[in-house]
This record gives sequence, structure tokens and C-alpha cells, in this order.
Amino acid sequence: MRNPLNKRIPRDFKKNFLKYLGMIIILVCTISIGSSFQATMKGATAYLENIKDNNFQEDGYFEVLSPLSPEILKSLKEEGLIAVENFYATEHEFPDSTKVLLFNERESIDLPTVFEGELPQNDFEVAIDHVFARNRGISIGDTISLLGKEYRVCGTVSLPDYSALFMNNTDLMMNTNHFCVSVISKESFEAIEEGSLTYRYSYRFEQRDLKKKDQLAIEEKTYKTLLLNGVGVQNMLNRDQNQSISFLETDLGTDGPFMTVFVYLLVAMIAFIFAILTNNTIESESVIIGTLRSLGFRKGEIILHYLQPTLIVAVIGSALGNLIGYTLMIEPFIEIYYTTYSIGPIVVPFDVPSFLLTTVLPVVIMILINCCMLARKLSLSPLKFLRKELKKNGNKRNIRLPNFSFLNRFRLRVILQNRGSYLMLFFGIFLTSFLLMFGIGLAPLMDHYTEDINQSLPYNYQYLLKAPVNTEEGEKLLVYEMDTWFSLGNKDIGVSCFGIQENSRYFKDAFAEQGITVSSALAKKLNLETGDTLILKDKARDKEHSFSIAGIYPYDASMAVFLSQSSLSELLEQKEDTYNCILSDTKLNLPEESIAKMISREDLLGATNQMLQSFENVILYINVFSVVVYFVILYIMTKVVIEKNALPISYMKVFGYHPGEIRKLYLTATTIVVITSLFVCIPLEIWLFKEVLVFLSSMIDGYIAFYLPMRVYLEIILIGMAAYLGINAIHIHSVKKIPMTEALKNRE
Amino acid sequence: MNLKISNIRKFYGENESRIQVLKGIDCDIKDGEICVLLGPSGSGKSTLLNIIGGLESADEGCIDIGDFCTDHMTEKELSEYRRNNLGFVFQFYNLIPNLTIRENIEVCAYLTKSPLAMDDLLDTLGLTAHQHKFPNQLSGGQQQRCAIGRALVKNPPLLLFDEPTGALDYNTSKEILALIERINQKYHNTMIIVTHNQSISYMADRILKLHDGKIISNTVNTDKTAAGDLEW
Repeated sequence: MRNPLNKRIPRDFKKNFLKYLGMIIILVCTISIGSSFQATMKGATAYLENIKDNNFQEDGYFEVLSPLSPEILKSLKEEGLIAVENFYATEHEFPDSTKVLLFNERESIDLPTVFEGELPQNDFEVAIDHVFARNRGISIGDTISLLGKEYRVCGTVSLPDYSALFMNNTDLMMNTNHFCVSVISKESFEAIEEGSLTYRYSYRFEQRDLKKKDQLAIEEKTYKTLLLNGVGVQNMLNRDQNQSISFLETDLGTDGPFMTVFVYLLVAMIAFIFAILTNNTIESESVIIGTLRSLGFRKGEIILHYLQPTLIVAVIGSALGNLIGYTLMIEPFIEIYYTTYSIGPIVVPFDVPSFLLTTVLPVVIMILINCCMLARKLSLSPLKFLRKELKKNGNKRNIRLPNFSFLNRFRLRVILQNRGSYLMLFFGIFLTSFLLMFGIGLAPLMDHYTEDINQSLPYNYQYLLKAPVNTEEGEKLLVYEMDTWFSLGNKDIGVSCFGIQENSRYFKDAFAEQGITVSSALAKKLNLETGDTLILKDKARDKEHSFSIAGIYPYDASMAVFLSQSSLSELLEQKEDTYNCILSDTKLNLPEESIAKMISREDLLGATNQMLQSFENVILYINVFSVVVYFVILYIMTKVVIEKNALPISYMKVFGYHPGEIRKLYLTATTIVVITSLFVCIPLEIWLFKEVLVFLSSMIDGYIAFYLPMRVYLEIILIGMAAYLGINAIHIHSVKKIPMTEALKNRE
Repeated sequence: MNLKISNIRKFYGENESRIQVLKGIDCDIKDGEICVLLGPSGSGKSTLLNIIGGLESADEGCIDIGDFCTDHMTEKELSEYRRNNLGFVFQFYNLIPNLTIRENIEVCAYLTKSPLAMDDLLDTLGLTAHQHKFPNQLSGGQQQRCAIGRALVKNPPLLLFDEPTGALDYNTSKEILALIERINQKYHNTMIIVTHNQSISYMADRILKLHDGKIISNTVNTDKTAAGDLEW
């Protein structure tokens, strides 16, 4: 015989349809986002794994001033490193201050993945990066002007060495709007003037299973060999140091756990809401439970009975969530990757562990939390249930209130009586408001970040030189890249050392007679103060330098330290007046062959706008999701309070209270809690937001300072209040519906 | 099944506020008897019923019913004891509001392998026409009939009634008492009825009067009055 108690379940679902629907909606939203994110991430990870061997992704590259001789390449090979030409030309004049790199056809390293169309077969055909093409609205068949020639776009591609489009490796963000990589045919490439070429050699280790330590040793040896052979090495980056390769890998590695924690946090919150609802049901059905227990029902049978709604909602939520996650949500998530990263077509694999994480685990979490609550609650004797004595300390916990007005004391009692529900309401408001803060606040935060850079950047152009130039324009200085240990991120980060003169025009107060001055961005990121010691590592020379910090210089544009030009020259064993960089307010007319890199103010600022664009969809999802969760939690938790108070509300009606007066007693108490929570949560959300920024800063090379304008807080509070007003209107109706007969029924 | 109550003592509270509500109760109730527990409020009759029903433990003494002795039973054993031996009927029916009358009775049929025939039971209870209604669609008397059916369906050797007519009017009370009597005659369960209504005791085979935690009289009623003829 089936347990007849089970017949209550569908009736309960019908009676509390909205409540259960709300729970299912949150669960479906949470799990669908979690599962589609996991699945897409697995697809992207699989793609990255595949290109390592299938597309011969490089292990690193170096750039030199002129092509290497076959002998040098041979000696590098003998050291275990196969370096392959990966030359490119740079187009600086593409519309909208865009930089385009034109790579020669690739045959043995970093083979492109064709996204649409085909690779160039003929002269003046170009295959361009698909993210750039999409963002700039360039289609196959379009003609674009590169280096003074017209090229027909024959395909869109992703290059294994540019899965993230970083214009410069030191950039804070990708720049998929103003930076593009492309491939042209061998014939077209050979027609390009030598002066506009950069001689990049991409390399792979001959032995594929080398340990990191051995790889570094070979790279070091290679660097020394190049120097010994008089080769001017401009840039040498292995794949871990190259943001264009490592950024996506790191992003995938950190986003995954971040999202998983977020999903489980929400699932746990839903489980706790369920626990409160079930607890409420148990209190209202206390006599029934007592009766069932006295008639011989076992505790386990009762637990199982009250666990069923949780189980049903969890199973429906996780099944529907996964179904939607693996069907409808996959495309939008893949789209986010495609608009942000330059990766080839993502094939979403069916991954059993991920599937279990989004199906079994949420159900288990919900069951476990509810089971613990039920076991604790049902440990009371049947007689206690029959007598409705469900509180272990009875009336001892009732607090004696000061002599406020009757209304205030009454409301306070309602709040104290429903503290569990209100606590969960507070937690829900906190979590959803935080999501809203993130969604609404990201744009102004990035704007502020851009403005900070704009304001603190004292020059408009920075020229890094291959060789000294004969010019009196601009300010000459020595710039050198070193590393320092970033304990929070558990990695080395690059630091630009600016060797400046005492009378520097651009870094007026950064000059220190003794020690170094650090940029405000670096100081904030590493939590440095004047008087601290900073250790910088010169990996090329295998040396470490220890500096005392003489001051913090307000400069947010880069992770930088400032010291006298002579001191830096001495460290680098160069002549005192050595320089390799010119800063200027205006564009300088320097010989092309002397310039290694030119960075303009626009280059630096454009990147942040691009990042916001790629986040637009995500921000929309976050905001919609937050409002939905907000609405549902607010509705359920406030409904619990009204249901709990149905009898006293009915009494009040019998006593002659008007509906308006009853609302003042019960709904105003909830309104007070909601509004107080909205305000109290703001400082907590700010704290969490700052922590998240510290975490985000640990993943990137720059530092994003916290900033949110007042309007963000106002919007959060207004959205919260607007949602509550809607819910309050529903509850006014619910209070009206409570019959007076509720109070007149037979009761013990 | 005979019921033997031996030296039951029960205390409530601690230290100075400790009071003894049952002061050594001894009695035997024979198989198939209707026993009425009479007494004023605070005499300990409900506490004794709860101890017999395994809802409370005695501080001393034990209840022997068939092979069971409630002395030193764990919570789990008490649950099994109730499941296999007892049916409870409460003053306020305690029906499950979102189950029909039939389903309310089936709830307890589920607890036994050989429940009474449902249609026959519904007929005995006079609820056949109302079996698909929900409790709030029935009168108090009909709800109490359902509660009796629920306690009876697993055909337990012992049926306990806690003020079964306390919430009912005179006529309905008499109907319920007549039903209890009919059931006793038909199914021969031992029944203990707690009441403060002395008139009900006239339908009993045994009348136990409690006062201040002690049995002040244990009378075998040889001159039973039919439930339908009771008056108060």
C-alpha cells in the first residue's frame, strides 16, 4: 500500500503554487546558469587543450631586431628549442586608431583555426581575427585597407597565440575593438617593405614533456645564446608570461570555482528558505504530527513525508535547470566567449562530473540541509507536538520590551517572532543587492578607472626605442621591466622601472635621492607604504634588487617604480645617460626603424571601453537574474510571516481592527525590515565588492580601485523598494482574504 | 489483550517546583473491557492515559500489554509499541485537513499489514456517503467518527480516547458513545476512555476514579447502561 500521506503533496503544491513556482524559478535560473557556464567552460578548455598539439601552439616567442642566421637557429635547436619565423607587419593607420598585425602564412607553428570562410589562397586576401571582425562588423568579402593596399577578407580565424587580444602584454585588458591579428598569403607578405616588419620567432620545446623548471632553464640558455651572438632581443615571453595565451587559461581556471561557489551559495540559500518554509509547516501542523506519531508513525516516516516537497522542487529545478542550461542557455554563453575571446568554434562536450555537479549536488545540498532541520525539529516527543510546545525553552525566550507605544511594541514582537524568516530575507536581500551592485556598478567603476588613468597619465605618447635617436623633443628616460612577487596572486607580476632625471617634467615629484618611489597603483595592489622594502627581480640578468620605498607617487596608469636614471643605468651596468624611451605630449616624427613600440593615451584608455562592451550581455543577465531572485525571495519570506500570523490577524479582524490598521501592525513590520536591510546591506556589499576587486586584481596585472557613485546605491535601494511595493500589494490582498472564522474555529 | 498497570509514578518539575502527579497507580484491565477513567481536572487521568499510550514515560512502574512492557523502553521502542498496539482518539479529532475522510483513515491502515476492510468500516462509522469529503466539509460528530475510524482501522488491541465527546453537543456525544460501544461489541478491543463526565462511566465495564494522582475507586460495573440511554 502506498503511503496515503503522499496524497497531500500534490494538494499542497496546488495550494501553494506561487511559493513553489518561485522556488523552482530561482533554482532553474541558478542551475541553468551554472550548468551552461560549466559546459561552455569545458568546451573552451577542450578547445585550448586541442590547439596545443593540433595547431602546434607556441611555448613562447622572442622578437629580435633582424632575422636570425640559420646557425643561431641551429644552436637554439641543439639547446632543445625549435624557433620558427612568425614575422609580422604592423598597420597603425587602420580606421579608429586601430592596430592590425599582419602575420605571414603559418606552416609549422600557431596554425590558425578557421572560424568562417577560408585561409588566404591568393594575393591580397586576408583572414582576420573573428572577434575583431564581429565587433567591427567586418564580413567575409569586405575589402579593408592594410599598409596602403586593399585586401579582401576571405575568412575569419582565431590564432592559437592570440586567444585573448592583448595589444601589449602589459595591458590591463584585451582590446578586441582596436586591435586585430590577421594572416595573409606568403606572396602578399613578401611584398611588404622590410622596414615595417617585426621579426618574431615563436618557439616550441623539442621535448614535449619537459618540466617547468627545465623549460625555464632552456629559455634562459636561449636568451644568453642570443645575447652572446650579438642579437638584440626585444621581447621574450614564454606562454605563461604571454597574456594573449595565458589570460584565457587563467580566466577559465578562476571563473570555474567562482561560478561554482556562487551556484552552491544560491542553492544553499534556497535550501535554507525551504528549511524555513518546512519549519513553518511543522509548526502549523504540529498537532497533526503529534497525532501521527501517537498513532505509530515513525520519526523517519514523518521526516520523509516533510522532505518530499524539497526533494520534488530540487529534482524538478535541477532537471529543468540542466535541460535549459544545456539547450537554450548554451548559445548565449558561447556568444559571451566569442565576443570576448578569440577562440575557434566551441564544441560543448557532455561532461559527466560537471553534469553531476549541477544535478546531484544541488539536490544533495537541499536534502541534507532540510534533513538536518527536520531531524532536529522532530526529535521532540509526540506529546510536545500535540501540545504545540515546539520551542525547547518555551516562553523563557520571550523578551520583555521597553514601554514603547503599543504599535511599536507589537511590530517589534512580530519581527522577533519571525526572526528566522527575516534573517533569511536579510541574507537574500544582501546577496541579490550585491549582484545588482555588481551589475549596475561595473560600468561606472570602469569609467572611473579609465578616468583615473587619464588623469594620472602625464604624457600623451610613449616611444620605446630600439636604438638611440637624435632628437631634442620629448623627455628621455630609461625604462626597464623587472618582476616582483605578488603574494595574493601567488605569482610574479611585471613592474616598469622608470629611470628619470631630477628635473623630470612628467614625473615631477617622483624623483627620490635615496631609494625608489612607487606608483599608487602598485602601492595599492601590493599594499605598500613608505618605508617598506620592495624586492625587484631582474630575470634576464638573474639578479635581485632590494629597495627602500621613499614615497608613493599618484600614478594609476601602470605598475611602476621610479628611481634616478643614473641609478637604474648603474643597476643595468649601462652608461649614466642611457635612455630607451621618450615621453611626449605630441606625436613625434622619429625614424620608424628606431621605434620598438609606440603607446598613445588612446591605446591605454580604449581598452577599458572594450571590456565593458564584452560584458554588456553578462551585466544584463546578472541584473535580470538579481531582480527575479530578489522578487521571489522577498515574496516567499514575507508570505511566511503573514501565514504564521493568520490567526492573530483573524483575531484582530474579530476585535474590530480595520484592514489599514492590521496592515500597520503586520505589513509595516516587514516593510521596516526590508528597508532597514536594504540600507544595512549597502556597507556589507561595499566590503564584499572591495574583496572581489582585490581578488580580480590578483588575476590581472593592473589594479582596479574601488569606486561607485552614489547613484548606484540609490538605484539598488529604489529597485529593492519597487520590488517590495509590488509584493506588498499582493500581501494586502492576502491579508484581506484571511477569514474571521479562522479565529472562531475550535481550538485547544 | 489484558492490560496490567503496576505502581505507576510520575513527577513534573524540578527541585522546589517538583510535584508528583501519579502516586503509584495499580490496576488490571481485562481484554475487551471498556474502562472509563474519571476524575476532576488535575487528578492525573490524562497523564495516566499518555503513559499507557507510550506518549510519556513513567518515572517508576510499568505497563504490561501482551508481550510489551513499557518500562525502560527507548523512544524508538515506544513508537513501535504505539504502532502495533494502540489507537488514539483525541478531543479535537486532529484530522489531516488536506486528506479526504477515507484517506485520513487509510493513513493508519498503511501502518498495518492486515487493516480492517475499509468499506465495512466506513459503513460501521456511518461515513460511506462522506468518504470523499474533506474534514472541513463535515460536522464535529462526523469528524470524530472519522478519527475513531482512523484509530480503529489497524484493529489495535487497545483504543485510547481522550475526552472523545468534549467538543461535541449532547446528541452528537451520545451518537459517538453509541458508536464506541458498537465497535467494542464488534471488534472486542480494550478501550480506555478519559472523561470528566460521570454519566459516561455508566456504559463502562470498569470505572476507575482518580483523585490527586491516586485511584480512589476501581469498580467493575455489572449494571451497564447502553450508550444510547445515557443522560446528563
